[in-house]
Amino acid sequence: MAATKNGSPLLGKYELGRLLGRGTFAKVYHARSLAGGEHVAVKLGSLLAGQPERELAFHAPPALNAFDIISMSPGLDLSGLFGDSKRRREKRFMTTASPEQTVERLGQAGPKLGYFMVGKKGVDRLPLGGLSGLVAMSMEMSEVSPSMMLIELKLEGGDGDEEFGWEELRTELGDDMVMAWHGCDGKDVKDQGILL
Amino acid sequence: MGCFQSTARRPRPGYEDPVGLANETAFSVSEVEALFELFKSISGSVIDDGLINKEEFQLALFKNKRKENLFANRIFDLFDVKKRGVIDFGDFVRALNVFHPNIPMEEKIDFSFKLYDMDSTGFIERKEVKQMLIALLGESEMRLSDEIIETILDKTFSDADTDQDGRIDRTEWENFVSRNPSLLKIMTLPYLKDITTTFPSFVFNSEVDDLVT
Repeated sequence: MAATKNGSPLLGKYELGRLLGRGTFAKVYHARSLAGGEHVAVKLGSLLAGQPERELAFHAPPALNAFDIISMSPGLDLSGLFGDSKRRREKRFMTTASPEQTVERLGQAGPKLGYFMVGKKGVDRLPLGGLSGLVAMSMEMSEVSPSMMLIELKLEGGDGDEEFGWEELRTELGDDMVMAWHGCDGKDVKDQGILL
Repeated sequence: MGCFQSTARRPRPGYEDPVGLANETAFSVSEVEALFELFKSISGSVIDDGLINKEEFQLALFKNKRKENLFANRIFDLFDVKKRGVIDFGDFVRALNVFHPNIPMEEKIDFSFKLYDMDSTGFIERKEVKQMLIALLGESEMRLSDEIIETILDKTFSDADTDQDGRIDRTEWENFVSRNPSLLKIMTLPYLKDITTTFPSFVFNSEVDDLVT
């Protein structure tokens, strides 16, 4: 694991490794937590002009239990009775790609599709209108099995009226990354189930 | 419990006195009336009989009346307390009440336990969880090997099934969801607090003044 540029740990907590990717506003590094030795991805962003760099770190994805997975069924989502605005702002997919690759590709697609990635807790520090027309998108990673992750994407803030180009995002991410795209409406006919 | 029904004067099929329902639930009278607007549109969508049947429920949930879904069926069955294959307005309001943000966790834990205890034995058995897991994976056109499925089940049961008898009882479920509160996310519908703004037509139909909201 490479040492940081100036030798001291980042924010006193992480030893920075190689650069994984960069978006318009941030760079993502591979890093190691000094406390637990876990491998993490650390995103350093200058989100607002003049604001200091802030960490948006996330740890190795927590493992899902059977009920986490079962809860995802649209049959258990009664918000549909009320006109269903939630589902248009969330998407899930499964991937065998690594956390780093996933973060990188999501970051690269951002400028093209009009969003930028944020950590869940970073949202309240952002201006409500996003940044020059961009929408904030948060991501949560969970482990389905040792080689497969579930990625949950959610649009944060915004007024919910713009239709986000989920299908374009799916294309950008590529079929090699997206194993199963759970659009919550069961319409995804591409039968690309993966047998592990 | 104060819910009386006036059989002499029934203004609409499926209608139940909103004051009584408001007393029994976390909803105000105007909210119950707003729910009636919603109920009318759902219950009249296939057969206009003041009752929600399975097709109408599926239509409301999925915009597709033919879409069969294991989990939606479970929800329907739990709403249909009188086991008649249809949901009336009272059933509708009382069941939705459990999903209200102000309702105590205890009731949500109860409902979710009954939801997953598919054969109503009082226990959530491993085979039931397996069945539900496979159903979910089928919905998302994902296939996982039996080995992976078993691993997920092993992990779930080692977490939840503290007496290791191969099934999760009510107490184990309660402890399990206390440690994993996200599992009860599905049991709360924030929309229910805004129901009167979502269905504003109630304002013109209101027959009773709100005494207490």
